[in-house]
Amino acid sequence: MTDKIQEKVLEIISKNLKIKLENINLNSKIEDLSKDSIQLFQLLIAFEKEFKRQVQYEDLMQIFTVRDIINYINKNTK
Amino acid sequence: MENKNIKSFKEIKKISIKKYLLEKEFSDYKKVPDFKKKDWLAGRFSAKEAVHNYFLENFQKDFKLNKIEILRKEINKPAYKLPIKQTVKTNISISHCEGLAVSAIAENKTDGLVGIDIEKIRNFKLKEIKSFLTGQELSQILKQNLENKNKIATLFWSIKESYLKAIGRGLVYHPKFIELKINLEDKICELYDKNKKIQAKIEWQIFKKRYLITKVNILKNKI
Repeated sequence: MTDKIQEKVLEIISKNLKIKLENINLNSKIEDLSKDSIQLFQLLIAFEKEFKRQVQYEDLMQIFTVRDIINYINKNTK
Repeated sequence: MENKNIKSFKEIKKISIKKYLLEKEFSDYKKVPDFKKKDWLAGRFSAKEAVHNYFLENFQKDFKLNKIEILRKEINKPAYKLPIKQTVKTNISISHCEGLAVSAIAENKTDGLVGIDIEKIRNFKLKEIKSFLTGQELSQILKQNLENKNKIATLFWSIKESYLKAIGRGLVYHPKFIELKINLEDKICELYDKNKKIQAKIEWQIFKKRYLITKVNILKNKI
């Protein structure tokens, strides 16, 4: 499950921010990967849509790194 | 729109970084991802210059830019530090986009909290617009032709972002909680936060045909 979540999170980031998968580091800050605030917002909306039951918008905005997002979703999936 | 300072990376690229950055700011700069470095520098320069000009005009104090430190105290609400103690309380806001940066400074007592934003006018997809606009805002946009649609959608986004920056909350607060009633002809905008009207001065301007700059001043004692 964890691997699947990680895979999905990376896929969403790659698709929404138009970054190649190999260029996404788990320690990267989401804000640093985003070109601007609209792109960042759209990314969070995409997470919210994909993981409806596990995430809350307000929580997502306080998460900093790719790894934090994966951990957050994992924690709420259990 | 007054009290804002626009700077482009092109204008400052020949200036030595040491002339406007403190040592610790230079360490922060090194951690900034490469694709954001130009924006970051333009943003710092613009903010420092705004602070410099404010103190020069109002108090005849001429601080060197590399003596003004830009800090990030709260989420999305920067601050600054001077080599001397300040008596007047002020707040600043910074925004950047494609090598352009804009910043503003406001006296808390008279100008309230300030938030500024610069955005490139972009081609929005309908689902993107829907994600940050309320139903009423959306209906205003859908009446427009395509060119205006993108301009106005960018305007809605940018004012919301300026407001969120002014209150120091950034995108932690969902933009749909904010509703704007914009009169485009008279350039008047009313802002409602969870249905409560906010006493704010809202201004905007198109810059170089492709960018939109918005500024929101919220009178603190009226929030």
